[in-house]
Amino acid sequence: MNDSQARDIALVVGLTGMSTVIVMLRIIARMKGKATFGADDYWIFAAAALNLPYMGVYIWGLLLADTGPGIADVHRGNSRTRQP
Amino acid sequence: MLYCIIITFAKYSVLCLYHRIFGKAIRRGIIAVAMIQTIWMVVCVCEGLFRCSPVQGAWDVTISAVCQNFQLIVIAAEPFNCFLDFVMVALPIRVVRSLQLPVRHKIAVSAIFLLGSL
Repeated sequence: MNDSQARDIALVVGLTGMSTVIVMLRIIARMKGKATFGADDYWIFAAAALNLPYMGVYIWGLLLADTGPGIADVHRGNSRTRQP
Repeated sequence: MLYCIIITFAKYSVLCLYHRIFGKAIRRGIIAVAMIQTIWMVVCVCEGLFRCSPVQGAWDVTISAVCQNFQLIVIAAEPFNCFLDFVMVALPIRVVRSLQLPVRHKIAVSAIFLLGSL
């Protein structure tokens, strides 16, 4: 793993952790205020739940970036005809 | 592709919060933004699914495939997404302007909603 990959992974993990903490604070605030959860809470829970596997796949792609031919090309997605 | 769904869900949450706070005052604006955002999400997901021809070319590097330029697609899609963000942030400003508050308080309340753009 080179420095830029490590930096990207640290940034992604940090931002995901921060957003998870904010969602947890939102849950705690609602429960302490004895307020009911509304549609706005459920949508943000769904977004947070989808964000975790999305970041996991992104980090996995960063770790795979230097392995094997063509993996990086798939992520770059340049308009071209690709031969196996 | 998953990014489009996550962004759309987060915007649905903000729109639901606006509906919870303002009720019917900006209901039409909320529904319009939600519908446009949904269409954007569907287009984005379809683009992600059918970016390569054949479809398996997106993940199978062992077959020959013609794939679209991902960077160009992002450059085309994201400005529209940013414009929707601005529209969504501007929705409550109209209601705040009509409140019976001192100007300083109106500016403060507007600034709180504008923080949502971050």
